[in-house]
Amino acid sequence: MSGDTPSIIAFEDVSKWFGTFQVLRDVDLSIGEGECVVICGPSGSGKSTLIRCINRLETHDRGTVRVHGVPLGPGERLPRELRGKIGMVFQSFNLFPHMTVLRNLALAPMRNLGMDKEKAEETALSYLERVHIGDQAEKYPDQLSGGQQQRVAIARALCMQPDILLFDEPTSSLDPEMIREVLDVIFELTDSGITMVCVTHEMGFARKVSDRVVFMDHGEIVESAAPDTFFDAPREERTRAFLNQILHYEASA
Amino acid sequence: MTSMIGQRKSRFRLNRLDGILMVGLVAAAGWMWYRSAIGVAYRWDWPQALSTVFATGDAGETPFFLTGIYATLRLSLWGAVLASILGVLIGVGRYAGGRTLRMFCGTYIQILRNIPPLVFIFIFYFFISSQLMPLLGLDALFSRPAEEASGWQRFLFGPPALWENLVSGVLCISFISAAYIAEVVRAGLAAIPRGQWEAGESLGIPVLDRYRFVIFPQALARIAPPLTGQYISLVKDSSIVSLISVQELTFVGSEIANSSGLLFEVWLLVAFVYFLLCLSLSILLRQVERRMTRHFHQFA
Repeated sequence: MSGDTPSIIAFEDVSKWFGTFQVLRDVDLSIGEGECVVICGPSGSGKSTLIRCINRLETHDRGTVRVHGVPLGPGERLPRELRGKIGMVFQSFNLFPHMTVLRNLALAPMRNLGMDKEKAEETALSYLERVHIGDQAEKYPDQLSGGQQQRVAIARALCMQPDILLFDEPTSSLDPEMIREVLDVIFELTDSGITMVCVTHEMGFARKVSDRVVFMDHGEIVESAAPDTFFDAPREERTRAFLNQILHYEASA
Repeated sequence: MTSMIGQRKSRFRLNRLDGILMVGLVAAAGWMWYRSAIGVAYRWDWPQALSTVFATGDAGETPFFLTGIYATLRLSLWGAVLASILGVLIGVGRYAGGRTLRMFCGTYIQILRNIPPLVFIFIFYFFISSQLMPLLGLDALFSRPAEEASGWQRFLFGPPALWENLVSGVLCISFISAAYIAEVVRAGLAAIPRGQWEAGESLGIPVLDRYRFVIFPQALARIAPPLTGQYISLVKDSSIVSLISVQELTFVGSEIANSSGLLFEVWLLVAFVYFLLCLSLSILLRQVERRMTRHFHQFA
């Protein structure tokens, strides 16, 4: 799938253990520049761990992870030149509760890129506009709805102008009526050229937005295919079983 | 936010149990008053006590009692500053340090917390302060002629003749208090959700800035109540350095009480001053705490 563009993220034979439990089993995966990949699978299948190995919030134990061509071995943290270049959006938003929205966004550009306050806040505002909450800049995170908070988190990640954006179940802790506004914002990013890797259970979103869907189970990649193929003609029995489970109510509803 | 504060304000209403308790208390107090009126033949002399306490020196110097209060204020202030610095360093070391640093900081905390403050102060004073300071030539620093001290220095550190005295006291108090503050700081850091660190890291915020802008402000808001208690303890604990002749409030009070014979009056005055100091400190710090925790509803 990614053969036509150079790969920006590559897992080569990557394994990881939590104690004696193996979370990642010989994972091989290459993601092309600008690609949007959705990773799905049952809970505990290693999806989150996989993407956290990309920005090194987790380190792996065997194999190599290549980011921007930089090979990262077991236990290696993110090298300085890549810090801040890989944005991440978390399930629980993780906004800084003691800062206004604007300051949440401006902090990293000021401290990492050395941007002056005025410039950083100007950039911050433009990204807030982009996620449709320019009017909330002076509020504190706890004054916003979950959906708004997650959009702030996305804008905050964008402020560092990352090449890669990781989403770790971005809608899983949202009330149902707010899922849409967040997914819309993510969808709008697909033509930005940013490489996106998204762990999600939103299959409708996966079908509409992604270039490729990767299915994981028990720490290994079971199937990786374009969304149409993945949903309409899955090759593997385990994929079918998973899709049956997860799509059951959606189909019958 | 307003609704939360509204809920927290408890309505003041007395029930039957309060009534019973109050009657009991009044009865107990009355009985003790009755017994002591028979048993203790003490003649109170407050006018004499007050004039003794606030008497100026022969050459119009500041009353001895007041110099004691100033000394306690200075001790508390510099003690709190130094204890905070040490406490944060040790607390962070304990939380985030490598194995050796964690062990070192842990040992410090355990030693200081598990010997009585009084014993520590004697050990510190006799072995470290009076041996080590001359050895390192630190005493020369404090034995400069008095005229060199500027007005500001006198205001902040008191009369130059007592600087060495003050330093000993400040070091004692802050070394002890730092051990407790370090534990509070460590607990505060440990209570910050991991996601806050991860957000800072994934945004590429340098690690020191992560502490400074993301973690510390939140930790501080959480540890403000125990920290307030710690600072109040520090003010009260400053009284024990009177035993190594630091001329603070307790030392001065004991001198005046013994020389005048007005034991009860003078000690009650001393207690009253400590009470006022600590009460104002706790009110002040509560205000600071309120301001800091405005946007921490989820922690409240």
